[in-house]
Amino acid sequence: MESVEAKADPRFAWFERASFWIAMASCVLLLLFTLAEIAARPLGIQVYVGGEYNSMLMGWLIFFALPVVTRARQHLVVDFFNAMLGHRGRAVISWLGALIMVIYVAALLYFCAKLTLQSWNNNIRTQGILRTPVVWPQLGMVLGLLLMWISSVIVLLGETRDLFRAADRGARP
Amino acid sequence: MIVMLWMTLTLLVPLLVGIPIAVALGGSGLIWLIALDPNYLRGVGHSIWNGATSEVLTSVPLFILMGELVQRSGLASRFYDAVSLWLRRLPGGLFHANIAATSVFSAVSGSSVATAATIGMVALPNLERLNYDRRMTLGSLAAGGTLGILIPPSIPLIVYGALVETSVGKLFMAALLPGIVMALIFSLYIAIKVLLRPGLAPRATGPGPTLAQRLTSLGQMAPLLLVVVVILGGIYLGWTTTTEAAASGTLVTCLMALVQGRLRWAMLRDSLVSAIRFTSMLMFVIFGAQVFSFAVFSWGITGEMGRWIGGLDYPPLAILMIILLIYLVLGMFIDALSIMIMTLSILYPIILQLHYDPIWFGVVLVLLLEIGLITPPVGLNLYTIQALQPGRVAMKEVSLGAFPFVLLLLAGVALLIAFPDIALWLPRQMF
Repeated sequence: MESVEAKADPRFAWFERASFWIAMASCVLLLLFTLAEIAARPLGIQVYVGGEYNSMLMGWLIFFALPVVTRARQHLVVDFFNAMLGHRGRAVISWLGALIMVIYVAALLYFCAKLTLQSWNNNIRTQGILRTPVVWPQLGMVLGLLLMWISSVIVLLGETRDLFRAADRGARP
Repeated sequence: MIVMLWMTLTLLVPLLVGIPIAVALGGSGLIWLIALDPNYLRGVGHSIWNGATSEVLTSVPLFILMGELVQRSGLASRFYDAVSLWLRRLPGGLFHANIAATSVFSAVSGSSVATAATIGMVALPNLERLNYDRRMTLGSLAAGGTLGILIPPSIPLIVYGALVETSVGKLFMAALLPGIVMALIFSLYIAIKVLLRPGLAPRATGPGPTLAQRLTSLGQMAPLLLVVVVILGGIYLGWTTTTEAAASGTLVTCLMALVQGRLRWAMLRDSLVSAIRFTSMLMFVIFGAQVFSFAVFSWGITGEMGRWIGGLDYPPLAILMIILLIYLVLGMFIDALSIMIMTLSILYPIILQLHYDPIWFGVVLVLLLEIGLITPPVGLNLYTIQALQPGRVAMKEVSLGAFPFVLLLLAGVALLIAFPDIALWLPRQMF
């Protein structure tokens, strides 16, 4: 299975680690709220937080973990054809992938920020009993994507360095 | 139709070049939305938000967490030891233990790679020490691991349920019987092959296990079986939702590890980290797929495909066969979950148009994706088993060992097509 270098790897910036801790806390809360719901049911007690907050916590879990996933280059790729290329070819593809990732995440960030702003302006709330303002979990989504974008820029810089190194190596007799 | 071909091309080229799957899907979707009408881009934020807060998918991190805990706490390896005590006298001996242990571990893991790695790690040294045939050892472990995504809880089935808006509980129940049937087919094949070629597996000699040993082994099997009963029993009886079943399973696993004195803070933390990373990575691909699906839908391709299929002069079975062939080929190059996420927006409407049952198709699809796990060049389970003995096992040897099981899985698909009730009977009895 996967390694767990995120927790101690010095390559990860402080904001990536902090962000990952929020994701971990969200996962634990998701588990606890769900268990509370199950335990309360036979007692005839309705636990509203689980039904209402679980999907929000899921959102936080995903978005706050994305910076570390991005920096650890754990996004899924089809690397079968890539593996047939030479060192320089692979470096170019990796750089291209990192560049497109930066642009793509920036686009997602823009659309999600716009959605959050809309929710804020229209005071949109959840449909459950607690009627929680949707803007709070959505702010988590925007913050997670922003941190992910910063991480993807850091990755792009690293890939650019590797690309020049690969070019140097190729130019050397 | 031409737009659809271009769309497929703009997706496939970056994908095959090695651009991250999520970016290839989402980026291609964005470009096509801009090409249609930039106003459609307003829906992208909603697509992402709805995907992230999907209630069905909240079970994914919890099921992965549970599988990680089972793996790291040693519950699975103790189960393997116990099962081997009961099965070693059958023709094929510990090969059957491989299949039985992977089947049961599958029922608490949801991941094929985790299943193959966990059981392989315990089984390989034992099988080598006892001079079991190497090729068959590797093949049975790689193939047994594939059951991880069929026997519930299965992560691909949860994702399928979320993407096509079908009951995950019913999908789980539909996959249970085919999962058991596949395990039995694997075991039957092993028994027949060993009877024909006894040299493949040494015969157990000496006195069998004592009553005390058997009772102890039952105690070792109980924790894992209890987790399985809690998950599947809760869903079958309608007591728990899929997410609640995942949470209960995680709690029971923690308690079992605690009772056995194996619950450690570091283990909990590592399991959590692993589960979160996987979930986040997977969901990012799903977001990309949702943007792509949104583009496909906005261009009206879904309806057009339906009309095109409706106008074809082929029987539904022939069209189904073509779809299955596409999945079979894609499965050799792309990992199971990604294929499912990428293709469903285009192929699922065709399945509905042909009047096939969505629950049944989900099971057939997962069975097909299993084949991709043990076929080169991108068979994840083959790599997993090879990685357990670095430098000592050639990929060719694992692939050849797994090849008969590929044929058996294909036979399983044929069986499901001929007798859909293998999958559909149990969900009909539910609730």
